[in-house]
Amino acid sequence: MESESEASFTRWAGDRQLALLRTAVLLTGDHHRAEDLVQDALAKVAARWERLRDEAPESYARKVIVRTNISWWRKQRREVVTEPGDRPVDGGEPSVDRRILLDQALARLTARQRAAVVLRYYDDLPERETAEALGVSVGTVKSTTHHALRQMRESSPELAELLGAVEEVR
Amino acid sequence: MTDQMLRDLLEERVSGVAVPDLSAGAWRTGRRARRRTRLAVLGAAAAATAAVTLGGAVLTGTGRTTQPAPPPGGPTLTSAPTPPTAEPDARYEGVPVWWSVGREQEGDLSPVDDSPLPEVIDLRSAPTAERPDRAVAAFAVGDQVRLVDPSGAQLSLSLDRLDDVTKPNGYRYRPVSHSMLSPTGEYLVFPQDDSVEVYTLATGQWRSIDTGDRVTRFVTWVGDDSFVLPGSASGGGDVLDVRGDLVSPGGTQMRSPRLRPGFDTRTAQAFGLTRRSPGGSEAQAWGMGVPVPVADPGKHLAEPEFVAARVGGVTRVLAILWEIHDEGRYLQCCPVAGWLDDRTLVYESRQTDPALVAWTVGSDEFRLVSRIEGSYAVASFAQLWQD
Repeated sequence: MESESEASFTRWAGDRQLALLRTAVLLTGDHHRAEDLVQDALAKVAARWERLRDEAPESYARKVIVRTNISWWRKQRREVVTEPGDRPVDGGEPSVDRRILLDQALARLTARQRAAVVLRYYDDLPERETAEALGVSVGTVKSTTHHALRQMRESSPELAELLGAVEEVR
Repeated sequence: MTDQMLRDLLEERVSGVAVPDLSAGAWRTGRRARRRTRLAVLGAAAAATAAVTLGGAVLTGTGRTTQPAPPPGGPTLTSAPTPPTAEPDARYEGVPVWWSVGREQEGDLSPVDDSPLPEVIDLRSAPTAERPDRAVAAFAVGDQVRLVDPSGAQLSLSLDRLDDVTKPNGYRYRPVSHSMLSPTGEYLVFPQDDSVEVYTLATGQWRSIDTGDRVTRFVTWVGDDSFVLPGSASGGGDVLDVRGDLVSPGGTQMRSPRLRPGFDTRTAQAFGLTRRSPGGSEAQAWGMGVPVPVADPGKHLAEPEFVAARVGGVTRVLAILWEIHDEGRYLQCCPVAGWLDDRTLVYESRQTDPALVAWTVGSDEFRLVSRIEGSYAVASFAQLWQD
């Protein structure tokens, strides 16, 4: 029984851990902390595997990642003020420039805004599932996403321009 | 920036991310957590047994033989809960003080694991439950009580049959209070001028218990199926059970004394109930009036409301931070709802976006138990720890 459960968990985790890690990297901007978040979330799923295996283990894992990150961010915000990284330089590799600009734009968002953007536009979650992951109402997801996108545009016009240029070349 | 551009950019940002295999380590950690949970359940059972024994001892002080016999060979509680050791944010009169999270940050807290209550309690939604055997929480909404059962389903109970209660000064009010739901969630009790009305969830039956000339306004549960009728807010009174039988006569049963924080509280007023955990931890909410330190005196209201909590014999205080121009918190915002375990209390955050917040006493760990959607007059809670 235990070995069968372990095998099914290992199969599921092996399938989904990369997707969860990529979400976590976008939420945190930090690969190491993202890996910690995923490890913690997978352990929590494992602890509840008999209950979750036939339900929605990935939703549960994503919820743990999102909410743990928001709590961490709230606590850190009181202690450390971080500046976004270097600005891209003219003539740099376009993909590197885009990445730096995206990191900067995401870093200026609150953890909840950032999560709303990532869940809606990277994970392609509907508003209702995004709301469940964040533990807020659908209305809050709508307004949070709206404010986040507006802030990204306003705080990073270069990003909008760069993306526009990329679109034209295509 | 179009939606599709943003999707492409996010995808590009993490396209090179690779992951080591985390599954085996996660399984081992999860297995250890399951074992710890099983041990905790056994520990809670032991604590519950001890709590029942302690609760019975109060009643036996009256000379009645209602103290339950210890189970032969059963577990015994041999030590108090270990007090936390984190550094406090401040001290007042030598008592360690922690600061609460801000009102607007409560919604961002991580949820507690294995909560006895649903993550969202929507008091505006249509009632969903068949009549439950017991409830975890009762919210007075208009002239109804919304009962929330352990699965999160809700039952609406009409209070049409109840009259307003009259205070000695003539003021009349609806008879709902923090004290209405019994510890096991099986009964509700409501004072009337000459009786108390008891509702049994399992049967859906009301019972009217004639109280003669006793004062009923301060009715409070003292056992799973017994309540005291104190003559005053801090006095003693007769103990009756849900059938109306006199359990402890003659005014010898005192209401639970308020937990005091260890400094002068004459300028503040306690509100809500003193709540006790299975292992004997206690907590009590206090109103404004004592100069307990706040995080930022230029930003937060001075002399804040606070919660006093005693764990392992040590009293600690949680100062409720309230921004000066914030009208979102309600006065007497944070009565204690109960305990999840001997270290983790739950308080109501009564505000425009009400919530139930868990605080691990003596730490800066706060978690969200439930968000409450919709307004209510008062809430009452059964025991929140899970046996």
